Amino acid sequence: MSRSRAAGRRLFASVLFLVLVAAACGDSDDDATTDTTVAEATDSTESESTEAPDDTEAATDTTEAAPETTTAEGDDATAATATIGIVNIAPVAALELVNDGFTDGMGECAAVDATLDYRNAEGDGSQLAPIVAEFLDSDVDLILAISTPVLQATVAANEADGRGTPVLFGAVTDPFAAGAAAGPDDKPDWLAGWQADAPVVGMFDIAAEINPEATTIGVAYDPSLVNSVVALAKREAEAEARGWTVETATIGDSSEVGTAANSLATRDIDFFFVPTDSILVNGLAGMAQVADDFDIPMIAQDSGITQAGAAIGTGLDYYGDGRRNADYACQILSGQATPADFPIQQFSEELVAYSTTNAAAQGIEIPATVAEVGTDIG
Amino acid sequence: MTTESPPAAATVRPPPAEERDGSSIGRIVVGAFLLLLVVALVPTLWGAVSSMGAPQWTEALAIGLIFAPAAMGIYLTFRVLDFPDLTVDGSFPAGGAIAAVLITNDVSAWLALPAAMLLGALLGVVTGCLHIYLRINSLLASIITLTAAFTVNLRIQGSANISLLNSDRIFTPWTEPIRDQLESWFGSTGVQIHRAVTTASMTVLIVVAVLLVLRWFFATEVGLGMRATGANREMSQSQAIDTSRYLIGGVALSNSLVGLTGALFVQHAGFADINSGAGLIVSGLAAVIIGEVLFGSKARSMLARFVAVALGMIAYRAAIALALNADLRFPGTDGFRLEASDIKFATAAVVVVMLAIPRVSETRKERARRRARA
Amino acid sequence: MSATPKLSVQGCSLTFNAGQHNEVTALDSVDLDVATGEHVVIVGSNGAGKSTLLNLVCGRYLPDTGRILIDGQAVTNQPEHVRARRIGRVFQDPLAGTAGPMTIEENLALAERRSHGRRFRRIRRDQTEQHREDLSRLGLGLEDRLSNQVASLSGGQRQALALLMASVSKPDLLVLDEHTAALDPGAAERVLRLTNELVAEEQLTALMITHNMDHAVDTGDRTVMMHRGTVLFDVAGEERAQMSVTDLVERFRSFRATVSDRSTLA
Repeated sequence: MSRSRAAGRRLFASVLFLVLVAAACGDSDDDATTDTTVAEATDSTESESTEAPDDTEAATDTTEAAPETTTAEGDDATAATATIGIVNIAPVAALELVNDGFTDGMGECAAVDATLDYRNAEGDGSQLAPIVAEFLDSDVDLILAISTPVLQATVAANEADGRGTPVLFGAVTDPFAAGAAAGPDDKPDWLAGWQADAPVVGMFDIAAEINPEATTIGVAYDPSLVNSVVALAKREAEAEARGWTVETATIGDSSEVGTAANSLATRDIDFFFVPTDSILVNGLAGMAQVADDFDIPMIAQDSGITQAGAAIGTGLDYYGDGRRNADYACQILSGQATPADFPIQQFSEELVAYSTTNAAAQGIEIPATVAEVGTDIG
Repeated sequence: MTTESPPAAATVRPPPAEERDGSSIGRIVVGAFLLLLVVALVPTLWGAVSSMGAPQWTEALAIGLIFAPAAMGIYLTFRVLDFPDLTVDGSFPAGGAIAAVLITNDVSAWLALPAAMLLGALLGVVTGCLHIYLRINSLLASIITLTAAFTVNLRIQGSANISLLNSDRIFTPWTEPIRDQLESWFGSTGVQIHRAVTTASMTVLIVVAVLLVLRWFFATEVGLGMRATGANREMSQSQAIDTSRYLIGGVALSNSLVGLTGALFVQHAGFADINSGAGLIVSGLAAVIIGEVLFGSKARSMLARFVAVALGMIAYRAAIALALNADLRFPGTDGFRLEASDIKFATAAVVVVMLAIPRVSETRKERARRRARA
Repeated sequence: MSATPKLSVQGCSLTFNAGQHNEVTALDSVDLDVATGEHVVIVGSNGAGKSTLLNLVCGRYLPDTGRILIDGQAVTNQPEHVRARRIGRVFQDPLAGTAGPMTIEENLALAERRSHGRRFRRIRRDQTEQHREDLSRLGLGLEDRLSNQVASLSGGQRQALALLMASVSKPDLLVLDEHTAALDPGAAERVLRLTNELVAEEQLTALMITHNMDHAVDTGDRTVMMHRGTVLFDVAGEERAQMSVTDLVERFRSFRATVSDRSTLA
């Protein structure tokens, strides 16, 4: 077909341009990556490709080979080098805290000179499998999975891979419900981590202290997130025990948060309980406006969420979660332990944060008990 | 062929009735089905309507108005240009992204609107060019653009999520006075609805402005050419219309309207999220169809059609709010509340049914015609 | 020829699927000059290259070799929509030449801008009387249905409207691609009569393809017969006036002994 040849020629240039743009887009996937070299100022981009083969083999075979590597380099440093892949599902404060804690923790780990390769799927679950596959392909020595969906994707990929690359996880409410492990000791040999089971009671106690007559809480959540569903079930059990009711509204997209909050608010709820649901937290500003207009206080399951609009956030110390995982990583990569040595345990250290501004907008005062233990973020 | 067959056929089938049946039977079936549904659901619906407070109605109105330009844009591509375009799922967050960045950097909340339209138009141009010059199927071309747009949007925003709660938005100067006024009239209900009322009353002006521009545009020679391009590309070429340019322009116009919706939405919601907008195309289509069924027949002016689509979007949002409030109780179960996730399915089903009706009636007409000929 | 021909096709060839097993030479070095005001009727069997020739003239296809001139000006590689400013075209399919979802008046307004370009300017509203008058010439009662959708018209009505639109503002060339073939006999007769009237009144230069052998000798003032991408013969004037359908078929037979059946032409 010879339609408008002249136009075709004229547009060849634009086609070329588009191809270039497409190529550029392909590259920029990698731009989302941040390479951080901890402890040693090695050029991170180089180290990833050059040091890989020997070391990784050694490190994968953790018990024996890793110490050898350490001694081999014993001349100028006792540190073993290792590459760690960190995968996060979304740029949510709590989840990023795990990475912060982990990064700081690895920085203090003298036995291992780790190169951290941090990837954020920016909320796009379909990105997880490719990221994990890429890590496994490039023979990372350990993977830190932040959040439940990441854990699920990593476990699936690692099982298929079969080499048994050690996997740690952070900010996972229930690794058992997520199918990553059957019990604290009944788990793959290469898996370890802490169960971040947020104490539900804390939120209820705070709510009861603020409003002794409270009977109803409203929860918006994304039903496709295992994390949120588990958290909701716990909340409902606790509510039943106290004789309270839980009103729920599901969201599938952060743009629906406002409508969901509106719908909850008209059902005479006394509090918004905010779980660590990445979709909800992304659209939390929508709920904050409703909370403001209806004078319904928002209590969040995580201190970091206070920044996003909650009056009070009480939750697990995710930074500590990251540090504890760094401790595991340090022992595993230096050959002192294997993931099998660490049964899955719960941690319960809490961090409390409150916002006097948000509290005032939502019509409450911060109770003294909260003010005592928490930090005021303004 | 024997001489008997024509009269035989004629006795079996009275021609005038058959002429009508295609569309009317479809309509009767659907009508009966809807009627049945309404009768069955009246108690539930009534419960939902009565439990729906003023805040939810006003919120539905505000959101409906915000999404009205997007619905008009989708109408433009789907109905006027006959170019199924999914770019909108990318130009919505794009509009939001550029708006959020301009707002948080204190540039101007008003400037955010034309900027969002421009970015949306740009994405439309990319889709149009992919389709026209690289001959990529329209749906695929728009999916390609939409995929690439994700990266672009993320680059613009810098992070996946930006809060605008502490920034000056176009609604900000009016929020306080309207809040005080409404509070003095309605008390706490007034406070609860003030944000939606502010958004609705300002957005309605923007929507009217968009409608006036569209009315002007489609009354120009270029606008007529664009309609012709969508109606009959071959004929348009022979009427000296550069259909490539008109199509690209039309897709750009459509996406600029979606970008505008994106910019308005982030200002109302108070945040911009890179992952929002998925499924906008289906809700937009639902609005188009609802608008056509409830408010407008095809023969009227372009303005009337766009108004119908805008009203369709408001009706759609109201229906969603209503559905979320409905407490369906089936015998043997302890209550069943429709959730947002169920509504996606319901919307998709409605769109499929509505899109299927004309096809079905066309096939019936065609069959009738063939029988008449035989 | 003394004056510059209105249309000049010079040595145009076009091959589809060149180099592939299904290669088809649609036009093989065709030359054709059409003088101003001439009404040329093109006949030929299926695959003779008639429609390809028209598509080449209109710019839908571009020739592999050769040149096309309108009024002595080369338009060989001009895109269709640019060339269309000077060419009015009616297709075989009655649905193809009009915009169904638009009203009769909108269709006419569209055609009015064909040769003048389109701008961001309001469509003229003062043309209604003119439209009524033009439409009443069709004798189909369309003048009272200006605001009806074209989709509601019959095939014959749509084709008559398409013809009117194609001849609006006196195009340099009126191209008719078997425009009566898809109509029922009555409508076909009416549209053809209308065509002849319009061409005569406006003194249009027309290029018309027909499959109807009677039309080939009755209509217009020159007959061109094509076969397998070439012009077989070309008659006009007195010679043509004397010609009957039988003569035409005889001529065809004598040129192409291989083709022996009138049905190939009809």
